[in-house]
Amino acid sequence: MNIVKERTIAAFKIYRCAYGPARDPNQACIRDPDDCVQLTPANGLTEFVDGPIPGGASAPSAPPLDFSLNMPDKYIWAVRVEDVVYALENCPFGKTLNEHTIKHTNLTGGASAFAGGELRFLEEGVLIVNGRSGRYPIRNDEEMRALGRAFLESGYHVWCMGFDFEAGVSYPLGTVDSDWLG
Amino acid sequence: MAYTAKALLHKFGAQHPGTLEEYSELLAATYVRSQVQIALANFGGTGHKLTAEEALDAFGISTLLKVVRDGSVPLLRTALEPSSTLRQRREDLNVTVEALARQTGLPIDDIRKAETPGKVTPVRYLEKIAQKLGLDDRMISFEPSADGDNDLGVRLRELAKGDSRRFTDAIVLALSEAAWVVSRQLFLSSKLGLQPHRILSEEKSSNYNYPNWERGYELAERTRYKLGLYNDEPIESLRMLIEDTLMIPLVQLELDEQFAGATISNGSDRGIVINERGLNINVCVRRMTMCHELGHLLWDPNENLNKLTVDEYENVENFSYSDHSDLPEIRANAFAVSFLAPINAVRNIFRQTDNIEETVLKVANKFKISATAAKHHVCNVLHCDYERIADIPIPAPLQEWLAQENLAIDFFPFRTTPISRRGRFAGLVAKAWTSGLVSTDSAALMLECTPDEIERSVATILDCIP
Repeated sequence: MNIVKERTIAAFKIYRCAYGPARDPNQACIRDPDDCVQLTPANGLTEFVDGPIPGGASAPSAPPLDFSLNMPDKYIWAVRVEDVVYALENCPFGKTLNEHTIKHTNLTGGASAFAGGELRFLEEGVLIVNGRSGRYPIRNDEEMRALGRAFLESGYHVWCMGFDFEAGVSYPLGTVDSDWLG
Repeated sequence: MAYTAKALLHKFGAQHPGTLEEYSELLAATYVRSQVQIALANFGGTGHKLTAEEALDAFGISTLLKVVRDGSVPLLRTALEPSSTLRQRREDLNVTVEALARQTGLPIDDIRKAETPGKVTPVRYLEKIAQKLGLDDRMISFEPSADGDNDLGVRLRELAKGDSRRFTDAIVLALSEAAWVVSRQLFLSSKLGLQPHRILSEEKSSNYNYPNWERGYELAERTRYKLGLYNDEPIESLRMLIEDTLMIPLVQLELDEQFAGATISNGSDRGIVINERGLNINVCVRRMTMCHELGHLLWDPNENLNKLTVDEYENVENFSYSDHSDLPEIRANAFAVSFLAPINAVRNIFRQTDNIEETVLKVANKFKISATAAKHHVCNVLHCDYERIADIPIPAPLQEWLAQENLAIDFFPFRTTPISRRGRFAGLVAKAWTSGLVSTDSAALMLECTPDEIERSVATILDCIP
């Protein structure tokens, strides 16, 4: 099968140029050597590739408002230097770690990266995304929008969670209304 | 009461594993909360900043360990919060959005937004609304129903339905906010290591048997004995006795002019509400009102207190044996007058004077009770005809009596602080702030002023309310 990622590469290049360089992970959040064990494709690491959507669509009638502390279908993602990767937060590999779940540094092996966050696939080609990561946090709403646009231009319909100014971090998925980016 | 990392680890370590370093970090950190989450304050959030002690008390060790490890953690359990709790509570109180907006000083649109799932509202607005609705503002989003006392909500609604002319939306909200003040004051007292008097944990008395007034006299005597008020000793300042000795919250409100006061129960917390309007302007009436409510608070079982008892002047001031009001009211009235002016003291004065008129004057003056109350009391105790002494002129109360019963609200450094939060409540907030137990943001929220004002004027508050 031919994996296509030209759009993804181009879209995230724009983001990297605007918000680079890559940053070391926030050391205060790295508590355990397990936090930096590199997840591999064999263990569930997936590279983000072009989605099926040509781009641009009208918003569905209402944004999804669906939150629980443990979402079995929640993925975490990281914009690494060369690519964008994601994995199921509660993947079987995570269960073998001390914290019983993977962290963003497991996506990077503890290396520098541009940003991290969470996402869910709501249906084929539609995702909801935020920039919640203690290790590679987004810094403001503009950065969140830029990331949302990068996912959009990679070929997905995107619901984008905003930036919670009062907490200084991105909103958790499904807690408040998200913005339809197209 | 400041926590230590070692003590926390010892207490919670088995259930919430972590290193001593993590526990120390948890206590050293400052936190910031928004509508949906709590984060380390160094992420730069502009929400409500919390001390570690506050965050720990509200959200528990497990939540804070996650914050320390991941930088932030959602407080929500479902996306329907906090809108669902706020809307439900407002509807339980049968209060309109418009009235809530007026009483909180927030735009109507913001109230509507706060009640709509998914909409973002500044956390300080949410907390302000929660306080007005008698909810625990700290628990907004975190605990569905935010520890609100459902029975109190129902009681307030029933009162309003029964008498919507006097129990307006504004009065209902003032009383529900008073419930919040009561609970928060007791919480702050406890955090500062101030223990309520042990008489408060005595078993309540459901004995309203005939003659009911005698039950009130007995309880008054018992209370005086437990408080070490022996013989004929007058009570110089009832306010100080209630607030300082008993540690009971005394909340001043502006209610309908017919209302004298109320006893309010929020969960297991009980407090007294005094109306600033009407006859309470007279210090003797105010003393009688406070004492009447004290009788309810100390001795009425929950089923009689029914969460909230609102008393009218007519019932508080004119106690006589022929009173046909509710049994708890008769008992509270008998308690009030004989707690202030003990039966034996009245008899002793009469023995010395052998003159009813003089007895009335001496009882009123010595025990600082109103002319009406003194006349009824002397008649009741000495079994004489009220008409005989009804016209005795009694001098007006002295100015110094008023000073002793004032709630220190006349002068207050912040114009925006409502009268319900001045007095002892403000003093406790100031003490908690200077002790580092609460953040500047929290102190400002509790006193409805700005963080700058807290930093500038806390010393003034402590001077006024030591």
